[in-house]
Amino acid sequence: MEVAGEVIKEDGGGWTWRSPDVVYGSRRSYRMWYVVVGASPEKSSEKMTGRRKSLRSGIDPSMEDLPAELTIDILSRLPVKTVIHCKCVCKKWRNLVLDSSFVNLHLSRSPTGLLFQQRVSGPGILKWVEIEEKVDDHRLHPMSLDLNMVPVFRNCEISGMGSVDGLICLRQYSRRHDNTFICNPVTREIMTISNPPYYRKDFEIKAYGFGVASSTGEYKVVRTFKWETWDDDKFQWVNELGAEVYTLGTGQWRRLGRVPYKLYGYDFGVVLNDHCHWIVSRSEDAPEKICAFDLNKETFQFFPAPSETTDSSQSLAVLKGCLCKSDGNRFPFTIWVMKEYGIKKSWHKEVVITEEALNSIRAFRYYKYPIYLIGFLKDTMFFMGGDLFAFYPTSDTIEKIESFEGSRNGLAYRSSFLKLQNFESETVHIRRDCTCISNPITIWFSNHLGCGKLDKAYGDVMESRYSHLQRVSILVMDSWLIFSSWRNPDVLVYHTSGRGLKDGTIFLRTGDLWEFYPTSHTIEEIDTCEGLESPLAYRPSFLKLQDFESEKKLSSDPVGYKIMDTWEFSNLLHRMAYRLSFIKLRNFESERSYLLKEYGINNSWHKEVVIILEISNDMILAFRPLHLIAGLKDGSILMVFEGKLCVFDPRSETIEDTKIFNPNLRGLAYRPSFLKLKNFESERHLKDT
Amino acid sequence: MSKKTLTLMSKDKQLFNIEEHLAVQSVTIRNMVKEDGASSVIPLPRVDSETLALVIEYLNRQQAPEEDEDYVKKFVDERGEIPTLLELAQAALDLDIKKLMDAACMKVADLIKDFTLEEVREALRIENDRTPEEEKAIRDEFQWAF
Repeated sequence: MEVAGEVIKEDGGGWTWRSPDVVYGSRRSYRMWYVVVGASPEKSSEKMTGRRKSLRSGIDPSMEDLPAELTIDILSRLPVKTVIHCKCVCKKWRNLVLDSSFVNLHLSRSPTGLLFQQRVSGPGILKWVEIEEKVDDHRLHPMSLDLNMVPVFRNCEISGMGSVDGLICLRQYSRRHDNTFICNPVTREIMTISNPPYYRKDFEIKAYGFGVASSTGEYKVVRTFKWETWDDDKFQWVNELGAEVYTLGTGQWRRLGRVPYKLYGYDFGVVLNDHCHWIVSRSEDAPEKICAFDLNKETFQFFPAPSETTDSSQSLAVLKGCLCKSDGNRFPFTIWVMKEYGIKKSWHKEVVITEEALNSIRAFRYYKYPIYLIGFLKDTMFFMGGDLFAFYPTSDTIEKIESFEGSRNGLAYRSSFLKLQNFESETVHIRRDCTCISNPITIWFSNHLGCGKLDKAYGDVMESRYSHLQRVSILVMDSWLIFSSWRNPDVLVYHTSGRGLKDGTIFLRTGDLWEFYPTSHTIEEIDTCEGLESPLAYRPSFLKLQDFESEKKLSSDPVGYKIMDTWEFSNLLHRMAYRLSFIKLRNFESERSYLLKEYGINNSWHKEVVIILEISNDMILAFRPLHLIAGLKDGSILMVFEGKLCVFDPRSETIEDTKIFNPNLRGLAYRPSFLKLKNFESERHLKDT
Repeated sequence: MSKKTLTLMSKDKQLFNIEEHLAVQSVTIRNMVKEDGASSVIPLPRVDSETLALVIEYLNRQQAPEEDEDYVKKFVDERGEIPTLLELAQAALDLDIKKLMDAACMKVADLIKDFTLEEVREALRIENDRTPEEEKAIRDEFQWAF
């Protein structure tokens, strides 16, 4: 365990977790942090006596004797970290937590929230912190569940493509990579969805969707793609749209045939009612502007869209259980809500955000980024347009959440303990190394984000006392307080629960975490919590990815990484073309060399060699494509592997480093000859040197 | 017409009277009444008299439906000691009184959620049957949570 820190009992009786690893302003690697802010002295002493009393009163019931049902019920109400701690309590508890009834109950009680990807220091980092409600006193529990995907994705762009039951579908996209991953941040499991065998580099993935089919309980990834195909009639290359679906646990994509219309951009579909919804591309002459994919029947169909629509950017979201569509890259920004699912007439113009409302927010970069909706938490609506914005319908106010600059890919997300490892024929890796980050932490803002109104009174207090913050506005959102400062976008204040509000304690941070008591106008530094960014409402759950029945049970040891890239290149070997592709699986990877027996005859491609390599964990990401150079007389193959010149012996299936030199380059088959360049007539004759 | 009264008997053979229309908030009692009219004493072999008294107090509450949620919360808050709550939750489970069980479980969860591992064991009187190796394995598995 890598916990740097200790639990400190404060004078007042509260408990504080201090981690020396967390030093504000430093760029030190950030493991994780868990802060329990000590309660105010009076309260905590009260609490402590209460606790002691309960410990002293030695009546019989031990939780060990309780019916499992009751224990599960109690555990399912605990925050995710406490549940994990509870796994250590006793064997019985551990088994209960692994139980699927616990997983499901926990998920059902875990609130829906929002997930963001932060791009503060390059791509690849998904970060969040959960702030849970503390019911019986005014304590703040920021918890970080930061997921640093950099070790997995290197510095590739990743985008969230959808989230269901705590599983997130991620896409890694770059010139060299086009990979799909499913991950559960709670269990730190990541699995790769390999591209289908028919996948070609020129496939252009258009739309993604990730959802669960309720009839079978299958988790499915659906995507549409575009590729060029030769049309004999038109005698030209034409674009064709296809769709494919991947059921988690089956290990393969299934083609669904052609899709007659283009779906909007690279959007991920919005899942509701067993359907995944996308906006149909503007260019398409489709009868409806929304397309839905039935996750049960696996069919596409048009879906009634609001009749009144503009040509500007549109997005879909689920707000309060209703499908919802936003309209407008410019003013007014309109949000439509479909009150009754599937009924065209029920589309209803719910919110129109006017230019005036948006103008009140500084630096609203709507012109640069399309606005899209993310979701609803309680009554507050969240949308993004370069930054994160919150709209409070009750007060008709809109707020830019300053600290979330650079956030991208807002997703509605519910955390869970679903185990990916239970998906058969999938290779799942637990990446413990994805915990440490040297960057500001992103916050999971959990459930209780309510609606609210601006409360300038607090802002004044802050301004007078902390002038460096300049123009602090404090947003009182029901039970939450969010502070933001125009000058210092880093200032974010959040608050615990409604209870916390009653005594008015406010937590804020300007790099550090502060506690502010409006009654006494005092401010206290609480602990060092670095870089709280990108709030995510998050519901922890114990759904285990491992629980997917048909999935292969794998050890939870960190294992290698499955890379879906398929490099195809040909080479000359025994004067024959080779096609080589490789797939890495767990700790080994198989290299298949295909030998073209008869030149030009496609059927004659023949699987000649399969190379299985034991590779260590560290090598996985550093792994470079293997280059075949030539076949040697004894049947062994000369190749460049990991930058070294190696010989593969097919009989013993070993790779031997020739240790001759490290070409670090692609090798060439070369035969010495006495052909004289001079003999090329029209070339300039060069002197031998 | 006088209201029908049921008699409940606790583990330690104490008898409690409660009006039938209130008692049937418990699904278990409702089913018993339906089956045999429950003319005799209803034994509750797993509930001690102290807890049963609490349950009876809860069932006898006279709250308007809209205040009920708050009342239940307050009811368990006032009995905010873990052993009592566990007994109450167990009784509510046996008697199938969902609201009471939910509230009691919620309260226990609230109380223990900030406890350290040792505190949880102590508060709930659970013996540690895990070897340090097993504990380490879990800590390793969920490194980020510790």
